[in-house]
Amino acid sequence: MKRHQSFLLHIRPQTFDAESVCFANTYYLGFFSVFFLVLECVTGAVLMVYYVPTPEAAYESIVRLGTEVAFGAMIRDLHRLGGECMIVVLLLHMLRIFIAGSYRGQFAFTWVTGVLLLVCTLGLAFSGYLLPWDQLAYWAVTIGTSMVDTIPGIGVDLAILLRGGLEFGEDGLLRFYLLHIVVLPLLALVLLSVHYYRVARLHGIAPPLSPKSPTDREKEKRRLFPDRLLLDLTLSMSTLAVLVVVVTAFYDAPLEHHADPRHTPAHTRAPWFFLWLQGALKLGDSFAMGVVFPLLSLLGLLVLPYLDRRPRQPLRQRPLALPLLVAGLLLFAGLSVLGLPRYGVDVNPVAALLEEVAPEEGRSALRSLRFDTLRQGVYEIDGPFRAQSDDDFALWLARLGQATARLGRHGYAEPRCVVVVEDWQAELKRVTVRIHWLDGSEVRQPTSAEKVIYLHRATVEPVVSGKESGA
Amino acid sequence: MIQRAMLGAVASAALLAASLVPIVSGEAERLQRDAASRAGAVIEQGAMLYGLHCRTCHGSRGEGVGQLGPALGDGHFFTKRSQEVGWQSTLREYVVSTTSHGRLMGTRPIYAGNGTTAVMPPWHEDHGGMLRSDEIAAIADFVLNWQATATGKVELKALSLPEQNPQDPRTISRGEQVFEKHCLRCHGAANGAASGPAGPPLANIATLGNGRREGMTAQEYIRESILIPAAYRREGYADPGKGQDCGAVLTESELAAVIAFLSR
Repeated sequence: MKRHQSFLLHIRPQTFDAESVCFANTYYLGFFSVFFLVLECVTGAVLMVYYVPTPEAAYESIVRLGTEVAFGAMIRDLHRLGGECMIVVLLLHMLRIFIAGSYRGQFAFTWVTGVLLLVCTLGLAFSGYLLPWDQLAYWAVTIGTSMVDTIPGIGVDLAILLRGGLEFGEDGLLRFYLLHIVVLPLLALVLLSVHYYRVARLHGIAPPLSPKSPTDREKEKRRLFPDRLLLDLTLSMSTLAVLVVVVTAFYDAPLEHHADPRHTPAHTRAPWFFLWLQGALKLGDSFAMGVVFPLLSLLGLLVLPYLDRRPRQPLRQRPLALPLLVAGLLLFAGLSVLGLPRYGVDVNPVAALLEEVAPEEGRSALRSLRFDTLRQGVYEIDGPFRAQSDDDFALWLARLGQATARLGRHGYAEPRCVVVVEDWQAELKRVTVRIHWLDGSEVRQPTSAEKVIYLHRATVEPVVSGKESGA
Repeated sequence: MIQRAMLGAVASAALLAASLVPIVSGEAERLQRDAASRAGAVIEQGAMLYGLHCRTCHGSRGEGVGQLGPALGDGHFFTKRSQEVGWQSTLREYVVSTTSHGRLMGTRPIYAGNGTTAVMPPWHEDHGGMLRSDEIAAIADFVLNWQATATGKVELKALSLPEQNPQDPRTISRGEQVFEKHCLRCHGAANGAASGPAGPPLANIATLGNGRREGMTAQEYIRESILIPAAYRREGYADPGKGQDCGAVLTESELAAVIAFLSR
């Protein structure tokens, strides 16, 4: 074999076993993990050009990506979506290895590095979650780190070390930023190097447990250059093309209002990959569920190959594996469902209705109405509302009337709703939604709750200069 | 084999290029649209913050309130205000700066009325307020959005403040609270039980003070001593000039109440 002088040519072997690069054997899940890691590094490097890691400037710098930087929104969407895809691919990768049983013997330590890579990736996702410094980020990460507080003895000090104080501020943001761009990526790089070295040079891909003897064709070697490299390129570019289409048409990285430590949002929802933890926290003590349970699960995954030492067998011949797998998946799914906000604290129905009419974050039916249909006036919805005309606003009022009437079922006597629309400034309207009802069981007290929403034409129907706005 | 691989690579490159076409062609428009939408969202946020923090003194619709705050939605504000206060920069900077730092007492104009006016407090969190820079910028954008509809000048009327009756037990009780908050530390308990470390006891000031300064009633004497502590000094006590600036922290009604309390 010719000896290469260049380090670059040593990173990947010159040839691979045919069966280790067969799609049906691996689904290229390892390849896709690395693809997403590279995508995250490249898009992350671009984002670093614009991002400022201080509480004063972080949010504004993310806004600027959308409003001033060409392709800034696309890069941010790709970074966010890429990260989520990476977690999916890693989980599938681990699942495949578990089902194939190829984590034993010489593969054991490779499995351990793989599990640590998953932890590293979740750490990257968690630390990156804080960086936009919006309400979503701030409160999810505040809750996430508050679990550290519950560790007896060292918990509070550890949390202060992590957050840079009793609550997140300048120091905490910088720490998470450095974790996200330096510490965790470096750690991931080292772990990945070990992981890949073992797979590519030490033991290869565990061959499929097929009873038929390997044919000569399967024993063939495949060259890295040019075949495999071209295939890698093809897969990368096609996947990127799919991602670009997805972020163009379907996916927008969320950005809520600026983080406000004084204002707890109506809903705090963990990202989907931590929903299981949010669900577990609802079941019991924060320390048991938030610290011990995840650490025990991690420990279980790490020691799995050292407990299970029998030779490799297909899944159906391993009596414990299948129930364990099903139980694990069911637990993950069940806890995730439990983590959804709908299994949260019961809010009173009036507050829930007002939050639905005028949510703190995101779009609502009111915001999708055409601006000019919101005519100035006082609209009293008492009982079934008869729309004067059939435009969107009248329909919206009618629906609000129905929702108000439903409050009667929750013990709100004589609920009615008043909507006031005022022309507040040029291109700015103020909408007040007020719910009235009679409170108390013996002495009926007129009570009301209201919410004020300001609507600017530009947020409802943004106009591009040089183009006529829609008729 | 190699041809197929090459073909795949070229095809995927073409696919990638094609996937970028819509985003590249629409990016300039998207930036404009998002910037416009963002500008609108900032004004909405400013409107909400104005309603929470500014409305009480400057009026719900920026019409101003006599003795509290000037109009921000009239034509005068947009055309004459900068000249009036000698502001050199833009009006937006003026709004941002005044909202952030508040207004020093010595520079505060009087908006209609009997010589008293509220003070614009600092709102920026760096200066003891509760708002972030972006929130103050949002309020400024909202205030400046009145320009499109601003006309004329709003003339503020003096608020009719209720006359304080010094005999009214409620006035005296309020005066006692003011005394405990502002005077107790130096002058000790009002009944003279324990003298304060720095100031003389004030238990009998209603009789002692009468005529202590030529031609002044006790009430006038107390008023002068609070507003200008150095005007009369009793031997054996700390130099009032070095003490608290007593009068500067009291409102007119607090001053009247504490005088009523001391001369009860």
